[in-house]
Amino acid sequence: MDFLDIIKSFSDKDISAFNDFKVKIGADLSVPMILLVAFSFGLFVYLSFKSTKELKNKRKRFLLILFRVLALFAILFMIFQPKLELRETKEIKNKMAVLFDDSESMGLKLESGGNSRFENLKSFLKKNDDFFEKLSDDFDIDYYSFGSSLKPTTLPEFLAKGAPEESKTYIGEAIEGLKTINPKAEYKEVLVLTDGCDNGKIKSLTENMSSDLDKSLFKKYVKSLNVKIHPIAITNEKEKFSDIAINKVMADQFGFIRTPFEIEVLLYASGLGKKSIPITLKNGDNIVKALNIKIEEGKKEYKVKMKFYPQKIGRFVYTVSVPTYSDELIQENNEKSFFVNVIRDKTRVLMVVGTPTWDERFLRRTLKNNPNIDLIPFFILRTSYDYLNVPEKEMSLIPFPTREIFDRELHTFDVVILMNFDYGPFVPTSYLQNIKKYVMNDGGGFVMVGGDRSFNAGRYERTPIVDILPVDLSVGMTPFSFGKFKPVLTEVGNAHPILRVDFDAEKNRAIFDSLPALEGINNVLKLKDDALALMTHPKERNEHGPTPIISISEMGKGRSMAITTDTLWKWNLPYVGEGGSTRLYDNFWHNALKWLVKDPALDLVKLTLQENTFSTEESIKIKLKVLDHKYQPTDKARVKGEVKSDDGKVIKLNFRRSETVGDYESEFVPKRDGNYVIETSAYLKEKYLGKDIHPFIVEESKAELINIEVDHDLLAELATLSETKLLKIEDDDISGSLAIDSKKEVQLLGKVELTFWDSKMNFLIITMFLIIEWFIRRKYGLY
Amino acid sequence: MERRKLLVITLIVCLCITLTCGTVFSLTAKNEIVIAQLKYKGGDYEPYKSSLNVLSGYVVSRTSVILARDKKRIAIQDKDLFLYPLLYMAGAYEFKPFSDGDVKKLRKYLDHGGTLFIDDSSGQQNSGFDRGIKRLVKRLYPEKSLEKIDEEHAIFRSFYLFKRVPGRKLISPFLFGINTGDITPVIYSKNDLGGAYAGDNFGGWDNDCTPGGERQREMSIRLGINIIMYTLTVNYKKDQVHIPFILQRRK
Repeated sequence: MDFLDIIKSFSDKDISAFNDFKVKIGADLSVPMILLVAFSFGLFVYLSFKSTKELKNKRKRFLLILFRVLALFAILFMIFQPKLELRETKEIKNKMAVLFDDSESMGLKLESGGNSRFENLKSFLKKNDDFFEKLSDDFDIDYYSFGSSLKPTTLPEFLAKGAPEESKTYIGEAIEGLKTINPKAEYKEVLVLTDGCDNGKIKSLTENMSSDLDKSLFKKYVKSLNVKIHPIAITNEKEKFSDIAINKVMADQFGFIRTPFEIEVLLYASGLGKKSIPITLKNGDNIVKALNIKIEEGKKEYKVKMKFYPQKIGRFVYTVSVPTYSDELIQENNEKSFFVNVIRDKTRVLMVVGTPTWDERFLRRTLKNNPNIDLIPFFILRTSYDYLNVPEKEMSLIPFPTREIFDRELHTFDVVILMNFDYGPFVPTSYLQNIKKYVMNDGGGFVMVGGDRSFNAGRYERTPIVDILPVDLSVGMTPFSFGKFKPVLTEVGNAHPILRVDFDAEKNRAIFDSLPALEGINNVLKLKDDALALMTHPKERNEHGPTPIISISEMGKGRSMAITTDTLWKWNLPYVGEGGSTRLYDNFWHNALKWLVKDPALDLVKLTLQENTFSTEESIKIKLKVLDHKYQPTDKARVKGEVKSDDGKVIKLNFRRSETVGDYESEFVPKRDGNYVIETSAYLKEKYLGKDIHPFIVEESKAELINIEVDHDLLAELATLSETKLLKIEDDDISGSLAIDSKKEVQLLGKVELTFWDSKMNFLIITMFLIIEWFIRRKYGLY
Repeated sequence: MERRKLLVITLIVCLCITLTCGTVFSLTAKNEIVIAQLKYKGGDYEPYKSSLNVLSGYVVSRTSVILARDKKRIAIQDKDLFLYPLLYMAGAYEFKPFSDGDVKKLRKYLDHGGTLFIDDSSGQQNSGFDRGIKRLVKRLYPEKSLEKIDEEHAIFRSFYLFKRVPGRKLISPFLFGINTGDITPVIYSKNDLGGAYAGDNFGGWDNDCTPGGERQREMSIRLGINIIMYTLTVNYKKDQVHIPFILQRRK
């Protein structure tokens, strides 16, 4: 009979259901009160000793003090009001979730004639059915299968499955999903039986885990799951397969034109033996870079760095690939695409000046003051006709670096300005051919500024340069016309962004009319057929029309501009003298350079997507912004669009107007992986406004099969962070190795409190002790 | 005799063509770079009538710059002031203070790309002109004061390389200036550079250069060319491509 049974036998209540008890203090005493009681108790004992000092008989004295103390204890009992809490409790099993990997990688047969990981998993479950049965003694177990989603299952149901059903492996998301799918369960332990080929959140957090920050982010994520994860690796030591895979391509989203762009390719190779494998970087069908990598036996992961120089501005999809081998397990993982938006860091301008002039002085000042322009000027300060009586060492002149600028370095410039420059004494005609190729083939920008050494006066009429000018030159014509004039802004010029300083056309024209007069022009034969005259001479004209002062033209892949005067600087300081500002002159040149380099900011048709990489069946929102020739948004444009996939299919897009003027929308849902290109164009009253192209990648469904090797490192890291242990299905003693705390939770079903201090018995005892004490005192003659 | 006559006429015609071809076939015949001499009240704004013409001749013959032989005399109030980005101000004596409007206009001119080259023609320390210039500069740039232009400045390498500042007299071994950002819109010489150029069209000089004689005059002409070249090319000679050559030649 234990204490509880004794209590039950004394109690007049029905307390038979209670199986536990607790003793509690009922009085709500403050600390000073407890101290006061303790002091009073001590004082009472001390006074008792003192008052019984006269008694010589020790036995009598002890008896007297004993009854006083007993009475005192009985009083203390009343003060502290002790009570007994009887409790009815029940032990409850902790909840455990067992997650089975049901993803595609589990279905791969990685040994010839052998089992898949999925089959191995089922064999393991059958072999260890007693383990799970025993586990169910201590835990309330729920079974789930997972891949890209989490689904409840039972052991027999899972064992009955023929093959895995999910296309992806999201371990982290599956554990997070437990809280949603069964919010009341509050799982504390989660067994994850997986090959670890994760392609969800955990993979993205761990794949570049080189810095402390990356590690702490992963640690934080695992901690946030708030469960103990027990990974069990579904592996098979007999797994032997051949595969080469582009696991990942690490590349920035932005690159700069003609600036080195470096990517790092993470390559995985298994079972290929020792061989050299070519790795190729392509932009569409064009090979951008190719190199060989030596595959060694026993080494599975390789990092390959590839560097190239983007040659064009725009959005591009590049693809890294390795060859496919006939005995490879998976051939879909041999290439990977990435998106790069190639932009211009700074506009690099080469300015070659035949003689220092005010025109050069103010243009240089404007370009130098623009932080987005990298100006490389070369001035001819002395010609062979100039008198030389000074030793070279007393002069600061340098030889004109003809070869460097017109041959070796020409491709590094975005725009070349020949300003009043007579090429004859300095540049062989073959280098002028280089400038023509640079514009026509490489997309460079070109400007010729007038003066007594430009156009016909510079004898350009029989050089390749005439082919890239917006104007035709004629042999033998009078090179110059003199006199002051105010150039006339043409209709095209008034709407063109190069000469647009005010959005109101009339105000824009009025501003240009207010500019100081220019003086002297280079005569030209005529404007070329496809060229546009932005400003013309008010009087000078021939049978072809007025002499163009500022003219522009598309030239092959590049653009060109001709300014047939050397007094444009009068729009600068002299205009300030007339009450204007230098803003117009600065804007003119900055806009001209933007137009020459095809800056996207000046495009009339602009295409945007919400991302650059999508997954199959994902709805891609396509937005198009259209401006008219006056650079105003227009909802009257006729918009065409189509999506081209890399297998040659073309799908037409239907654009609809959005609520915002000038905005058009469409959407596209890709059905398969691959690289796609959206091409759009817009017309206004059958007049072509422009086009825009946006490539994108659809790739996500390949993720599961990119790296099929069991990721022991990932699973081990998960176990370490959960303070558990990574197990493998080959391990003999799974149950002994699992670091599971099987301590059950105690649930309180009911309770009842029994108090004793307020019973009649207690008062009776106190009274009895005090009477006995009084009686003894009297008997021994003490008062 | 007739043949000799014909030969002489042909020679004269050829000579005329040779002398004038630099301008006749130039678009810039009307757009040559013209230096403006600043007219001001009090003192003598033009101590040497010929100095700029002579210097222009040297600039044209030694460099690719096409500089007009004749200067333009201009006052601050002139509406065409801003058509002349290089303003030459010379004098030997104290001059009348500029009006507030003139100071404001001159500051606007300098802030937007104009250059003021000041030349003290007195050949003396602390001349009346020098005092007037210091007062003018203080009003133009209350937040700044004239500072020595250091020897690494582009003025000293814009065409010729320099170690010392010459002139008709060696009053100061420095040029002075006001720097705004990386440009120097106000340049001040105390050594009477104009005095070193003054002369006739036949190679005669109006003044001796002391103490260095003709070498000092040659160096003065070079500095004049450099100042004009600096106003046209600013810091071009400080661009990276020129530095190795200049360092090598300065060894």
